[in-house]
Formats: sequence, C-alpha cells, structure tokens
Amino acid sequence: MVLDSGLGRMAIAFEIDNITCRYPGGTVPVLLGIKAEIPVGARVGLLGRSGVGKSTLLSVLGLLWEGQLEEGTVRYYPGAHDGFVDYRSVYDAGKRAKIRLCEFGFLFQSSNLVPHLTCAENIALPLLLRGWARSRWWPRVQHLLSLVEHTPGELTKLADRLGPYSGGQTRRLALLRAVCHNPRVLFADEPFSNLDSASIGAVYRILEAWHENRLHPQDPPEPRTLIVAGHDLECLWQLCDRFLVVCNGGNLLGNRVFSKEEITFDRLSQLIHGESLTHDGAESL
Amino acid sequence: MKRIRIILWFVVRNLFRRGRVAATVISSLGIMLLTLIALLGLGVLHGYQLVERARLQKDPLTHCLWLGHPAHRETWFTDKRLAQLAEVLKKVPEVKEWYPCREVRLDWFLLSEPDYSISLVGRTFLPNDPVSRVLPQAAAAASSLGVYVTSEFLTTLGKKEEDPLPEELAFRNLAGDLQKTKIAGILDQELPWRHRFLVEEGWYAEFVKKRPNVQAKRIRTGPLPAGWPESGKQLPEFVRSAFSKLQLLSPMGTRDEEERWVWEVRTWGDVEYSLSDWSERLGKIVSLMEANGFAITPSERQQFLRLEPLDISATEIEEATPYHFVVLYVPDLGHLKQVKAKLEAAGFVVRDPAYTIHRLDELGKRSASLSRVLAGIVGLLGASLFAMLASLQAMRTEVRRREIAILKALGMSNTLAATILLGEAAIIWAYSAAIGWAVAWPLGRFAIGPSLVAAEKEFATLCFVIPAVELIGVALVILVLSLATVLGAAWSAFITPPMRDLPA
Repeated sequence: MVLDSGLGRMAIAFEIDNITCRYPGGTVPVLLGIKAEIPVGARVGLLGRSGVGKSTLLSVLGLLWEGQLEEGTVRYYPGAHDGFVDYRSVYDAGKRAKIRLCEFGFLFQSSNLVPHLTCAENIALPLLLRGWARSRWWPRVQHLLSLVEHTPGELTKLADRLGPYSGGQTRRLALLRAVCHNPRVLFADEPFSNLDSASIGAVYRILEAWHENRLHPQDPPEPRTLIVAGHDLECLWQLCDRFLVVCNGGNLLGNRVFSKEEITFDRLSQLIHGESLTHDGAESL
Repeated sequence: MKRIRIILWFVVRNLFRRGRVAATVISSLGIMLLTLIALLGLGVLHGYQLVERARLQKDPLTHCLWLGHPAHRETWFTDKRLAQLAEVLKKVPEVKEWYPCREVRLDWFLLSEPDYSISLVGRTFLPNDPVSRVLPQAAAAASSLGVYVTSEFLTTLGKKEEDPLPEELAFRNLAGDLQKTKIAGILDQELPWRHRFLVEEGWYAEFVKKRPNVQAKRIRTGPLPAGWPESGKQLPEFVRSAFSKLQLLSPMGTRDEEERWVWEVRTWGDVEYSLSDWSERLGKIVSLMEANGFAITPSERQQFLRLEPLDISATEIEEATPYHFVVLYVPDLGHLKQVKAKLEAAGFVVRDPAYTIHRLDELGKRSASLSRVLAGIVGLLGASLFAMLASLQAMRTEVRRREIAILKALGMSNTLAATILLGEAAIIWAYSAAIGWAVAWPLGRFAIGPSLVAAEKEFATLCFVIPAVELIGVALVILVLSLATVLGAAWSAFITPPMRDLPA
C-alpha cells in the first residue's frame, strides 16, 4: 500500500484501521477506534500519558495481544511484494509466533531477560529459536556486546555468565536481544527510562545503527521500522521522525502520524504534559 | 532437523540450569525408585520361576511325556498305533522329537546270600532316547547302576556299621557266572523313583514295602512245579530263551522255608491291571515246559494262566511289537500340559509326568499370587510418586510461566514450548530409568535375588533374571506415569500467553 503523506508517496508498514479492544472482562475499551498508517522505514515515537494505551497499542501491533480485536483491524505489510497480514484473520498462535520471530523485535519496558540463561544466550534467543548453531550466533553476539560496552570488556567478559546485571546492563542486553536477528520492525517500550546518559547514548547508537542497516552489514539492506513508546520527549524527538500521540481512551490525536515538519517539539510537550488532549485540540494544530 | 536441534538445546539447557537441580533430582529419584522396585520385584519373581523350572528341567524325565498303556502292556504300541501317533504328532508342534522305547532290565540275582535275594530293575533307554541326550549322565548312570544293599545284608557279610561301604559286590547271575557289580548305596536311603526291585516274601519284603518309594506286590504263590531246577541252578536253556524273546524278566525265586516257590510279577505303580497279556506269554512258557518234560497239573496251569492259554505260534512271537512306551520330548516344560491334553484327546494314554505338570501348575499359581502382590506394591508406589511428581511439576511450571511467556513473545510457538517440557520429562525419565536399571541389576543379581530365592549352586545365576517383555512393560508404565505428570505442565506451557509487559 502507498501512503500519500504530503512528503511524497511512500509505502506503509502498518495500517491501523479503526481498532477497538479491551482487556478480557474489562468494561472500558483500552483502545477505541484508532486509525493510523505507519510508513515503512519510519521511526515512530508513540507518545502519551501513562495509562492511555501506548503499551497496549504496541502489543496489538506486535501481535502480542492474544485477545480478539472487537472492531477494526491492523494490516502489516512485510515487504513491497509480500502482500499483507490482516491481524483479524491471523488466529493461529503458531503463525503469530512465526511472524513475531521472523519480522519483529521487542524491547520490553522491564527488559525480561531469562534468568537461567547466560548473557550471550539471552541476546541470542531469537537466533536460537531460529535454530542457529552456536558457531554462528556467538561471533554476532560478541560483536554486538562490544558495541554497547562503556569500558572494554565490560559485557564481553560477562558473555558466558549468568546474571544479575545492573539496570543499565540489563537494558542494553535486552536491546541487543531485540536487534540481534535484524528484524524489519522493532517495538521498544520506554527504552530510555531509568538509564544514565552513557547507556542512553548506547541505546541510541544501536537503534540508529540497526535502522540504518549498519548493525549487521552482512544482511541485505532493507527499510526498517522503529516504533518506540515513551515519556522522554527529548530522547524520542532526537530518535524519531514521526509521532503518534495517544489521548484519553486510546484515541490517536487526529488519527494520524505527525512528521517533524508538521508538529513542533514544544507543541508535543504541551500535548503530553500540559493540555488535555482532544480531537478538537488536534484539529487546532 | 532444525526443530529437533532447537528442542534439544532448550531441553538440555533447562535441565542443567541453576535452581533446577533439586527439582530434577527429586523427579529423578522418584522415577529411579519406581524402576528399582519394579525391576527388583520382577527379577526376583522371574528368578524364582526359573529356579523352580530349572529344578524340574534338571531331571531329564520331567520334560518328556511317556505314552503307553497304563497296565504297561508291551504289545500296546503296535506298528499301527505308532503310525497313528505319528499322524497326531504332526499337529502337535510343541513335541520336538519322539521315540518308541523299550525297557531293558538289569536284574541281579544275589546268590551269595540266598536268604536275602534282591533283584533290582533299572530303567535304561535306547541309544536314541532324548533323555540320554538331554542329560548324558543319565544314560551313564543307567548303564552303571549298581545294586542297593541293606545294612542288614552287610551285617550278614560280617561288615560293621562303622566300616566303609564296599564299592563292589561279587555275585553269580542267573547263568551262574561270577560277576561283580557296583554297590549303588544302602537301601536305608531313599531310592530314586525309577528303581523297581523285587524281594521275595518274608520279613525283608515286609521291611521293604514300608519304605515310602517302594511298591512291592505279591501276585501268586504256589508249589514248585515238578521238575523245576533246584535253587541256584541254571534254568533250562529253553526257558531262558523264551523269556528273552518275550522281553520278560526271568521267573525267579528261591525256596522258602516251607519249600514253596514264591512267584512275583512286577507291577508298575499302583495300577491294577488284567493279567491277560502276561497270561498269554506265561502260557507259552508253560507249553514249552510241558514240551520239555515238566509235569504241570491243571490247577497249576490255571494259576499260571488265569485265562485259557492262547495257541500262539512261534511266528507270532517274532512279530510281537516289543515297544513298551513312547517318549515325547517337549523342550518347553510349559507346554507339557497342553501336549498331554492334545494326546489324550487323540486317544493315547499319557502315563507320566503327572508330577511335573502338577508342579508347574503350582508354580504358576504361586507366581500369579506373587505377581499380584508385586503389582499392588508397584501400583501404590507409582500412585504416590505420581502425586508427588505432579505437584512438583506444577510448582515448576508456575515458576517457569514468566520465562515461557518471554520466549513466546520472542517467537517460540505454543507447540514448541509444550514439546520442550515433554522433552525434559522424557530425558529425566530416560536417565532415571537407566540408573534405576543399572542399580537394580547388580543389586538383584548378587544380593536380593539369591537371598530370596534359595537355589543350588548351579542355578545361582537364575535367582535374579529380568525378562525382556516385563522389562518393556515396566518401562512403558513408568514412561506413562512420567508423561502424565508433565502433561499438565505441558498444557500450561501451551496456553501461556506471550509476555506483553503491560502494567497490571
């Protein structure tokens, strides 16, 4: 599908078509009638106050939402000629797992490393699930570890050891796990929260490198889509080129993705921290 | 292949992870214990059966069926009947070999002490007798049978109780020749069942008849026929040749104190039977005696014959089928009963071995009750272990739910998650069962088996033998129990949703 965003016609990765969903047994919809289109290769910042449904939207887009969508659908376009995946018709858990494994990468807010696996095994999990032998994934993991070290050997020495790790180390390892298989789409939930500046820099560098196909130069270059949910507007402003603002009730502001040319930093800041978000407010942008 | 590699990687990695050792050890110990008890029980039970069977097997006569007329009529197995038997046996594959046999008697007439005459009969076999082949020493023993003597007899020879038993005894046989034979033992000891011996009437006969394994029967007594040779003298040649042709024991006897002859006809076992056949043959002898000048009164003749003598020509004597019985060799003792039933249904009389069949039945009954006890123990233990392992597995699954959710978020399928848990259970089962087996074998073989199953030295290796079929059965039961404990866990892993990392 081709999106005419005013910046020229570009292919889209996700078409969010009026979706509504709620938690099992819940009375209030956590997402209500959201519509948006996310272009391929975009770096999208998902902004909004706590509890407005950013993480839920990430779950839905990342096929982690196991419940049924009440209304609407999401369409994911893996490549220019691969057709699309309609989320309403993908009921099979195995198929959803395969799409997650082959297409997506996840950086969870609480990192979620597997405690009984070593540092290197945690990073290589997506590769292990693809059946890679150690001789293949070990050099890749070593290389990735060396990219996010604050001091030489800080993480590469830990490669064969079990945790615990510091908060910054944990987040960096989780990030490496999210990018080690070079996914087409990366979902990151609060990647910069509770990190020192050095770790923030490392996260930023890795995400940039992945997005620009510099992280795994042996893989064929492809446009890669980054969807980041977070509160830290400065970091997101620096990292992303487009923004979705989620308002109360899970509505997207204006049901559209704003590019940096369409919205200012200050206006975004106001929308997130100051003003009550309404559709009317969006209309006044 | 790739999928197997993935499963193996996660299974092995999970089994040897930190914090899982205790759970793995407890599961393994449970399975090991169950394997151990099941195998030990089975091994001892099977060992008991094997030892008992080996004891039966040791006696070569026990796995042979003896067919013949219960009255031991020599002519019963005619050529026609043998042909009929051959036809029947074509449909009885359990019988490996069969042979028509005759008995050859070893008669020793102890002339050195006329007051205490003993005739011993040993049963020997034809050269192709399967019994001899099964246990070669049986044939050797049969051919080298000595005589049994009583301690009283030894006393009459001037031997004292403390003197060693003489190895040989010199005597004269019926032909009057001096012979030497081995002394097989003292008659005070219990004789092997296959020995039959005759004694003349008198106090010694009474003494012998009281022995538990001796059957002596008086058939006829009467005055000595006129012209009968004096005691210790050679019988007329014509009598000996007639007896020889007819496969009969030579009539024997000595004068008693009242100068009366004692006639004894052997009986076999407790069977009462018609004397017609004997009478027929004795009739021939009487005829021969009369033809040679012996005077026999009609009353004597009647006593001899019981029935009117048949006019049997010499040709008919030659044609008489001399087979006394047929031996069927049944290698598997377990088939004896079945073969016996088949042959009896076909009209043949199975004389022996009733005792073996009875023992086998007893053995089967006793083993069956032991099996039930064992099954009860293993069942109870299995149920407790099942409950323990199931709760342990449930606890482990709760702990692992988060880990499974993370892996699922990263792309692990439900099936793969469940398969990995099943794989872990299978590996725990496999090595626990292997260790259980490795412990059970030497323990049972060298300690428990011999202490529970009393066996002769030659059967020591049979005290603990685990049969393959039962082994597979035990393995399957334990596998099913293990799988059952992990199925819940696998299902839980299957339905665990992927990690969404959302606030509660």
